[in-house]
Amino acid sequence: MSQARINVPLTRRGFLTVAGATTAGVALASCSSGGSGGQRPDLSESVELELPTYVAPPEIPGGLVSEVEGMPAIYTQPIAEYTDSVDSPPLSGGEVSTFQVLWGAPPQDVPANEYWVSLNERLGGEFKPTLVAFDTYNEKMATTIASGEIPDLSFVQDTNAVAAQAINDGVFADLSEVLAGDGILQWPNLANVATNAWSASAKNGHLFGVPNEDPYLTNFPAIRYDLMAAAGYDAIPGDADGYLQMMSDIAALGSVNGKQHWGIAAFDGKAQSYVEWMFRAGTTWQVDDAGKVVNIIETDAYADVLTFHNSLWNAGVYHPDALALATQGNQAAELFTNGQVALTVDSFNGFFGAGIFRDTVDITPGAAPGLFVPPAFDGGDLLIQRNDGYWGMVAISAKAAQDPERLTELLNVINYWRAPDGSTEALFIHTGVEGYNYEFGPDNEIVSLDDETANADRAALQWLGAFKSPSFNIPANALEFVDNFRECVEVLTAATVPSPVVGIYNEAAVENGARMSEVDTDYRGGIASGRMDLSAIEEYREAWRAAGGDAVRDAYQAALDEA
Amino acid sequence: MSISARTTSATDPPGGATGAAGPGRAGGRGTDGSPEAPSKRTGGPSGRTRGRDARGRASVWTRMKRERATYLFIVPGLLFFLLFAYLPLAGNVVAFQDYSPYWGIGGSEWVGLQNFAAMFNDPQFLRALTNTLVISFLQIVFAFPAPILLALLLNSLISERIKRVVQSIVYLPHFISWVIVIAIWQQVLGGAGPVAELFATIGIDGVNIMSDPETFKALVVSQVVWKDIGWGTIIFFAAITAIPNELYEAAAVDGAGSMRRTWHVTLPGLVPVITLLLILTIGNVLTVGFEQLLLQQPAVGSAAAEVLDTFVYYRGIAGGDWGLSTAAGLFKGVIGTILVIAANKFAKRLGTEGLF
Amino acid sequence: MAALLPTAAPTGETADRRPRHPGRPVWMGVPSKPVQAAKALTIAFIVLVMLYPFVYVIAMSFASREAAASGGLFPTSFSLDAYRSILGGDVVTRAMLVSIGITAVGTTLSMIFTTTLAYGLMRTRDVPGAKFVLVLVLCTMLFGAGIIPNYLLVRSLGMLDTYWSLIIPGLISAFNMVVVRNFFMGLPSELLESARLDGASDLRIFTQIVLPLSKAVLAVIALFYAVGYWNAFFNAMIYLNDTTKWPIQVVLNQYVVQGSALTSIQAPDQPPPPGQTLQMAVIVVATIPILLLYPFAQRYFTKGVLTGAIKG
Repeated sequence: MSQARINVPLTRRGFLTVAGATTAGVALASCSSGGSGGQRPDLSESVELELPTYVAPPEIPGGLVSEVEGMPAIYTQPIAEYTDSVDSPPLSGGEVSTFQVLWGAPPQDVPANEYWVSLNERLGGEFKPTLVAFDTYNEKMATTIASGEIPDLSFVQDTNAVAAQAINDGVFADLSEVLAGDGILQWPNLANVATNAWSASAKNGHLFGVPNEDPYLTNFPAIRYDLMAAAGYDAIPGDADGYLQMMSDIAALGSVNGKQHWGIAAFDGKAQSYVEWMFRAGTTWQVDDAGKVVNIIETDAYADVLTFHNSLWNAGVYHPDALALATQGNQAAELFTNGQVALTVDSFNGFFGAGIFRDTVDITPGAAPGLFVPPAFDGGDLLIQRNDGYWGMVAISAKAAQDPERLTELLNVINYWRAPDGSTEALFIHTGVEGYNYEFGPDNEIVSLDDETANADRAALQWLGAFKSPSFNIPANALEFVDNFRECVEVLTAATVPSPVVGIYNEAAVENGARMSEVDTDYRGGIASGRMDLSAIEEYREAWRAAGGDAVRDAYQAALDEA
Repeated sequence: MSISARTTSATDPPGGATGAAGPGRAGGRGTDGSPEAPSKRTGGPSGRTRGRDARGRASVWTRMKRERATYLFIVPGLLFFLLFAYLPLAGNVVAFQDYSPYWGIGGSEWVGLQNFAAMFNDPQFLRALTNTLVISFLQIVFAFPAPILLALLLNSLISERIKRVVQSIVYLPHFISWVIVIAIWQQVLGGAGPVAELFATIGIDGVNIMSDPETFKALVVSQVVWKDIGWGTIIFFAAITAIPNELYEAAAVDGAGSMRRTWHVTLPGLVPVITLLLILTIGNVLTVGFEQLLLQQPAVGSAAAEVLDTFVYYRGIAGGDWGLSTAAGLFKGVIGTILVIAANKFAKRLGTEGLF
Repeated sequence: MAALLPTAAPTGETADRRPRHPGRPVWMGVPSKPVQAAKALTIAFIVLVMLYPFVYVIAMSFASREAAASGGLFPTSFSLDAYRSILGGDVVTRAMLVSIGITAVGTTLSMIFTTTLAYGLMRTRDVPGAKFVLVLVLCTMLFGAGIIPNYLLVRSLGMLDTYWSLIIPGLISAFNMVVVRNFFMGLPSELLESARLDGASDLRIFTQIVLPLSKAVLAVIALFYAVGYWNAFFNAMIYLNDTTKWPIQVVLNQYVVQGSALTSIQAPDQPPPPGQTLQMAVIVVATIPILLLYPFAQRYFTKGVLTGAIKG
């Protein structure tokens, strides 16, 4: 895996020789920047990529390090001592502009925003972010690019069509050379990025950014053990039939603690995927025995998955509005914390960061939420698709990177953001400013000051898009959930397998992604809820192929055949 | 979310005018000390037509010179539209391109009619178009007249205070965003809400008005009526105030009751407004509430809820295909233009003023 | 008020009732009891259905964490936590001030440019070219430019990151212009003609005859513009990088839409979405100010402006 060789033609449009545009277009064409920045990268030929050297992040005493590959370390105790991972400020004056996602409330301005003030000091320059709501990411990205004024650092979600096109168009600097091999050691925290994240995020052998590392598995199913007990179960049944029976019995409890109550709130991607694990439906893209690339929806196991969802639906396990709740993520999560739902699928961030477990227990006395390992349909093993290893990346403007000194500075900034657990920098990035966001307790534990404004100030600026290597830092008020969490995540992580197409850049997938997922949502929900008959699965597959499925498959097939 | 940022849609505030086709109008005097006006009888040739007759034969140049003061009123607005509407409109040439924002129009490849072909050849296009037209039709039939009826009802109220209070309440839902509207409708009408419970107690289980594809289009129209009926009445209130009281008096003297006065005086007084709004609504038949449908599509499936704007969203905007979204916009514009011209002609044939 | 009253009461019966409903023209009569009851019921129903979401949103915004989690239709507790939280920093208050400023300045400018253009385009038969301009304006309702061309224009005019970018590009709404123009055209043409013959300038006719006689429609259009400026969110999102210039709707979007709906993706390290009570409190704060405008507009169009005209 040290060398990735990928061969997919990246450019769909060749170089252009259109002369004078049109009379009408001239005025606007002249506004846009195109040519001034540089040129389109020639990505049509894939090249050998020398992957950056990997250096494991420093271990911190007290961390629970697992034997299971891909299982992040769990930290339950306060870190005794924080050390510096960066010896000098990343910038030497000046400023750094960024394009990054804003998930919540906007920040206050300097100087009221003490986090921002501190950030400027620590960076040694002025931090100037462009904060983008995720629902306007496409439009904002496109207009920013059209203006030609590309911020120094941009969060690039490269499964997103607009962002992927920007990479194709040469908006961002090719970092392959500067980061190759030991070159990366100049930025020690970047060297902590796992090798699979680099190779998965490379485009035909070119690195266009520092990937935002993802653990092997992000979302885990959790259940209310107290409701299980109320329905007469003290353990998760060993096969699909037993599981269906248990969920039906839980749903049949009806009103619990005076609240109306259901099995599962939302029929979303997360709730769908764990049933795929149960039926060993495999990875989204898989290679069959004949070497042919097939999609999960074309497998027989997938028909079983949909049938099972439909059985759950008919047994009243899903909330009647489960299809609608899938688009209202917030509400579904709140139904669980409110104690009205038995099962939810969420991330570490949801369970511990957003405090789903803590809140559930606080709101509903006697609630006992915890992760669980769903049974395989036949009592055998689960088969879980492993994450691709990254979720977006931080890219550097091609224009800014033309000056090698500036490029070094900008990599310094990302290096700062990627400071590992136990460093003063990570403490600052993820927790904030002492006395503003938090203070230290008697055992050096971090005690949040619960100042919403201060926390919003931090959260708004902090999400650059590349963070320390994954780890699970358990808040002090949620220690009771750790053992169960650790056990389940280890079992689930061990059952993951990588996708055979990970790291293959596929433009058709990016372009048709939204259409294909529309078809998916439509038929999955339709068949599960009984709006459509299971026999519609053939129509489903047909519609999906027409929506780009075949084009995507062909590209993967070509790439795999090449290799 | 912003597909129709600049266009009016069926749910936009209806506007209106009491045009010259309204009931015969006497000369007026402002109530707030505006200059005394000479009183003239209506019924004769209107001032405007007389004016034209008197001067109509003058050369264009002479007329332009005579009206030069009027151009001072026109020019700022004209410049605004040229600069802020027509200059960017030139950017629509990307409908014929594989457009890259970074390389701009000059640096993007020309692809002829490929974007249009991609749109029309898509197997889902026809379904999206059909759904759009059906929903538009239902909205014109049910949602369009709703504010008129409500305005007439409120107008017939006795107490001025109650009238005002009710007006201020019915327009509230207009200010709640679709995300919230749908969440609240779901709480009440969804499968877990009180309505479903009510049905369950009389023995009908599993009622879920929010996820029934069969009745979805009626649901969409009801939501629009609910959200914008009050907002839509505003313009009609304004139009009603412009109807001279003399007409009501005359009708009352003739022995017309309240219903007949509404029918013979108020409604005809609103005809010009209604005509104007209807023409504009017809021009927008290819635009139906984008956000409203996108949000509810997962619950009922795209067979019922895919409309032109969501179709374009999944392909053009979410797919980063600027050429295709622009091509779709042009298509909608051309269809809209044809419909507006036709509707305007028709309105004029019926004897109303029309739009232009 | 006197202008509203007819010179003679048509029937004795209605005249008797006059004192009970002062301001109500006597000819209107009083409907029969069953009709009144039916109307009252209809209106009560409509009011109830329209009011429910608002009461719900307000109740939620004042709910405690536990009450919001009760699962009932209405939470029944009282807590100011959500408001304390959103008004804690200066973000929401500043955004409110920005929105108020944009709305006030924008509406004023829009009214000036819309009414002048509408006046200029009133007499398409007399003024050569006016009809052409009118059609030009109407076309903008049917054809729009995409996001990128508009952005590049605003940028090349140097308006990025200025409040002007939220006002100038939408200065005149073709729709509103057409509405105003049609109302203007409904004014008694004899009035304008004779003023013209008396030698009054266009400016004088416009400001002293046309505008004062059109208060109802001006109030409506001003309301439309004000609500439009207040609710505008997309342009701000695209044209403003400086978050301190963000109007309240962009902030509201951060609280409400981000936590749900169209963005159901899961990013690692994504901060948790704001709770429901917080969302509702922001909605309340962001909506109440614009709602207060309506009663002002009402004053102009529930009072007949053209009524009481002189009979020939």
